[in-house]
Amino acid sequence: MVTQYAFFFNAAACSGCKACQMACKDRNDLEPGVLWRRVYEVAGGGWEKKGEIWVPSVVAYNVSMACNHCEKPVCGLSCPVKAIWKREDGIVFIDTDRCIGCRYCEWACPYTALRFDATTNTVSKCDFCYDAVDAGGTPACVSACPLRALDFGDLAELRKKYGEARQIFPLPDPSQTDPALVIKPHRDAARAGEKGAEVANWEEV
Amino acid sequence: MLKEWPLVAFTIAGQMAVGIFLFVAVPLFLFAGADAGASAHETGFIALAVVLGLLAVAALLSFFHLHHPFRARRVLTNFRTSWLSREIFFELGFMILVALGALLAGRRPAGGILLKGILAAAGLAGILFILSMSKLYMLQTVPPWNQAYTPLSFFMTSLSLGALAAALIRASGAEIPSRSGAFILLSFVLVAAEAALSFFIAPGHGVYGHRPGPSLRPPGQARRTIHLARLALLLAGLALIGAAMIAGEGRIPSGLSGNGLLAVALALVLAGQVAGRLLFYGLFGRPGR
Repeated sequence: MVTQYAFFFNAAACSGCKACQMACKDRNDLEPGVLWRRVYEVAGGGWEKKGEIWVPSVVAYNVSMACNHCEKPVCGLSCPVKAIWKREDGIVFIDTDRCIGCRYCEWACPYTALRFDATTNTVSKCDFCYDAVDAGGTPACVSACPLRALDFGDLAELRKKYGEARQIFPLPDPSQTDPALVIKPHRDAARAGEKGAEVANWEEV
Repeated sequence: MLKEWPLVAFTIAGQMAVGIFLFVAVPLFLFAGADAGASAHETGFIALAVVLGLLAVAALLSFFHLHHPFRARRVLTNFRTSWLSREIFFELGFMILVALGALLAGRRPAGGILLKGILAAAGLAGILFILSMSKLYMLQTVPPWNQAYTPLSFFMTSLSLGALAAALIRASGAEIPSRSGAFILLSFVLVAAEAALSFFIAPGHGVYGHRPGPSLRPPGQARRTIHLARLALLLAGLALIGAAMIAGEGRIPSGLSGNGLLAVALALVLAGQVAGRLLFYGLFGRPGR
């Protein structure tokens, strides 16, 4: 039995096509401006002088991120009306009939997974396509990825398969929330911080 | 940043209410001896009414922040882990205790030990209200807010506005004039301290584009111009408090012109606090809409 569902993201494979983002929007019929899964374009560096020559020191990669259904869901801990709760299989849900729209959970989540939906006047977020998963299917984002950069499953199984990494630049310190996330880092990720990399598509995410 | 106006109004009005309570009601009802006259009692009663009014305004404005205000009756549900639940709990507790205190203080003779007990509990609830308000923002996941500056600035707002309003309320009454001038001096010191704090801490608090650590949040919207406006307003208020001190020769200046100086100083310091609070919310960039 699954005790904690999780996503795997292979940053080394992601081309930034945003098929995952669009599949999520399409499946959940999300309004413009509401994104449950987002692809961050990380870019930095430039030219570096080495001896007498200038060489490119560019870092560039993508990070696809949705709700990480954290083991310590700070969104739910901060919610004053207990509108956010965790199912036995680890999926974190929002009860939009209970949400008062104070948006405090938006402040609390370091992954910016919770997004305000102006049509319902409540916050909303990835629900792991729980109905599809319960029926033995896969989340829409995972199915849509043409490069198989996304996978899902039990956190313990994913860790066995892909390793323990769960943080790359610019993701926050995972000890804050214990995200159910496994990542294969891109080769540029280790030097992104020192090269002054930043998210290059804020308008989009 | 400007979208957070209900929270700006709620936090400042709530903090000011606690400050006025601590600087007027507590000394007049808890520490004044038996020699405290009827006018002192009347001033204390006015202060309690002002505190209640401010708390009511704060509570009302906070509803504008909610997108489903009619569901807010459940807001105390998660007292165990949510600082927002705790903040509202202590605000309601403070408001109820102040209202009870005002009822007892309005009777003749005033409530004695019971009144003192209720007001002491109200003072504690008020302090816990500001503490829980601070903790609400001190999220580990929001580094610009997770600093000692958050509770420090909240308490400074409470004390500086409270002392200044206390001076004004006492100036409008006729009680113990020899002690009242101390509140002008106190407000001068507190406003000066706040201006100094905002000047020295602001760069590290995100005003100049500093982003602490990697983040999936867009850059904040804190504007340097608002920071400068905040400093200018606080300093202008400080100058007027200084003028009121000189005009009153160490006491609260008598007459309309003296009160006018204090009232304008209060308005300026209040405007400075609003600018500071807008800046505070501007440190946080909300993604999406």
